[in-house]
Amino acid sequence: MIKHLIGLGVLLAIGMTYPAIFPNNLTIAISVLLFAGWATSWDLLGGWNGQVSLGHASFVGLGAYFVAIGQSQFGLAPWWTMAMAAAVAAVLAYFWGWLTFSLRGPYFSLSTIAVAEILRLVAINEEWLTGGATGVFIATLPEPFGVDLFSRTAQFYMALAFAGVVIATVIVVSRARFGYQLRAVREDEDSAMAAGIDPTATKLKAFMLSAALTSIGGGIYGIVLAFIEPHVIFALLLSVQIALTAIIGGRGTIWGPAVGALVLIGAGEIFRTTFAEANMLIYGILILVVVLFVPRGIVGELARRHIRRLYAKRA
Amino acid sequence: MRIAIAAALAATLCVVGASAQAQVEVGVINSLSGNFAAFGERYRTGLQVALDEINANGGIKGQQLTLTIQDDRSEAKSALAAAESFASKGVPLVIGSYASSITGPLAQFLTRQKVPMIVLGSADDSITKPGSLWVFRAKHNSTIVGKAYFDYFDHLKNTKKDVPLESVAMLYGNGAWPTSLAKEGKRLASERGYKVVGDQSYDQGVTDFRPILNRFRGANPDILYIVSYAEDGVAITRQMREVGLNAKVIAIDTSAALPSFVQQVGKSADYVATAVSWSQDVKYPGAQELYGRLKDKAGGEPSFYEAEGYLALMVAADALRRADPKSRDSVREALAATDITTPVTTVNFKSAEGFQGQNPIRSLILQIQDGKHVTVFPDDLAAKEAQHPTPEWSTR
Repeated sequence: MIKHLIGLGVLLAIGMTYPAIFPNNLTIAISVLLFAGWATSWDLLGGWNGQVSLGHASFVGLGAYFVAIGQSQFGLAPWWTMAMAAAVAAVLAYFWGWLTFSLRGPYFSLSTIAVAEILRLVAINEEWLTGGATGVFIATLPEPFGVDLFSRTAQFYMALAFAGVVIATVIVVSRARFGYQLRAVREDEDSAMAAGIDPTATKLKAFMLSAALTSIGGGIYGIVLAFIEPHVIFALLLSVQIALTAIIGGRGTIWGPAVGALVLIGAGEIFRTTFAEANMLIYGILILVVVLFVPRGIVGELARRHIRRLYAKRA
Repeated sequence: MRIAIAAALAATLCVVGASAQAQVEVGVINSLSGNFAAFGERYRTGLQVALDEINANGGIKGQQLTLTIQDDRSEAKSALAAAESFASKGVPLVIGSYASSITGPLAQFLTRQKVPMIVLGSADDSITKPGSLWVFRAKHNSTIVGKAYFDYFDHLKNTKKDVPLESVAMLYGNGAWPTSLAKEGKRLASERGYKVVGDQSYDQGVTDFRPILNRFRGANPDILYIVSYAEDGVAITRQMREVGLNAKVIAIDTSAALPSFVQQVGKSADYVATAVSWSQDVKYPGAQELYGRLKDKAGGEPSFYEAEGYLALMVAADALRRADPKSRDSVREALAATDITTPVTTVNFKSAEGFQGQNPIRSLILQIQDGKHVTVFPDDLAAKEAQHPTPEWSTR
């Protein structure tokens, strides 16, 4: 655990210098960091706990909407609204999980799609609050200590902090009693129950933590976009992208989702600027290749080979 | 061997030298892949036609105009990355993009970076209201289009007084554009004394509109005001015929403006009215000739999307000719002072009614007559008279 935390610290320190080295490529770095944070949060539930969510866009949207509405209608600073969004996301996850976690099989995954759809329709129809289908603008933001939150540099550090906190959370959880409970439930619910673990409670806790963390990243995303439209922010596509990032990188590993974000968003950006129209095709082929030949995900596969080598040496 | 290398080197240097020759570069952010690629392709055709014309006429003060087109993959985060690279590269202005969910964040970002921006395709009111000093839109928005429809309804009412037009039923998708156009329609209906007897939105992906249309039939509206994207409008028109929903005026925005609408709906498409920013038979000088060039470049029937792409670059070129392309402030001032007539429309950015940087473009109403889009309103730009009223389905 200490090793991973030190590694994270080193990476964050290197990350701090990024804006000075690449001052004109901040948007893409922010995307990578946000997706790293979201995918790592997703993985708490989807990887460590084995409950695949295809509705994490709802938490992203929740965070973004809280920040945007709080600022434009109530004049609330984004740090307050992000905290509120995290709390609401956790409560939402609690009720949602309470309804669905006692079911087994793919029911939970199906319900996650439905919840994101419900939130999208609420955002479209409750016009008095959300601005309806035409969306909501963030025109002004407070300037804490004279920092312009609209500047990409400030947003980069916010995203870096977000990704750092999420990964640190997973590192701590992975070695904690709770982390072992998560894995036990993932591997076999009945055996876990026999060992005195309440599977539903474990899943609920993981879901709430995952939801709260995701919504904080959503708040930062709202600030980055400064304009939110419900069709886009609650889209199934975004949910799938988050899940895919974690799966490609390696489910149930500490660094997998972050590596997935780097590979997918980074490759997407390189393909976009070099291959023009064909970029989506090549992107799709890349995903196909990973799924076919590296089904454990990039980091998952590396870890497996590493372990096999260790055993081979010992034998 | 050595000579060959030297020659190759010299050749490369020449190429580099040639490209380093004075030129003005404009940044374009367009959706070339993803959901909106079909529209992005049309916009690109229009931009290319404009580029050829500008450079054939001496470019920008003798310098070649070049376009650097970046794909936004139909999503905001890629568009913002592209905008960042353009902003740091020093292009005098940026043109982009189609969807409002992409164009909105772009406008916010470019305003903060103080880069002049010309909107390519988005028609959302919120882009130019309240707008910013740096964002310009030569094409229409929902306020302008809504007004065009109701001016047309008023015009029909006044020219054929024996056909009463009193009630209107509205059906629209719940996307950004349909919702805002419907909202504007409702406002105008109450302002101009039309009774709204039906008001129904639907979620994208619905394919069976019969229950709604049947309910509308009971309300017996004089006017049907429908705002739908491509496939929805086709399904609605077919099902309208099936359930026998008659109206004296049928207006279908967006969907009915596409050439493919007539192909898919067939004879039922006749009499349907739709608002656009440009049509080949409009009476602006050069419109017919532009149609020919757009058709050649597109390799098929062009629509107003190509024309809007053409328009955006013509506005940019006009401003760049009057400004110092190295100074974004000067480009912005030149844009604000725009006053030109193009084969697409007239352009100035004299803002009014809370808008800023918005061209008060005159939208055209087209009616489909014998399978062809014909400009029927406003009167001074029209090619033919409107066929009114729409006969009942049973007699067609």
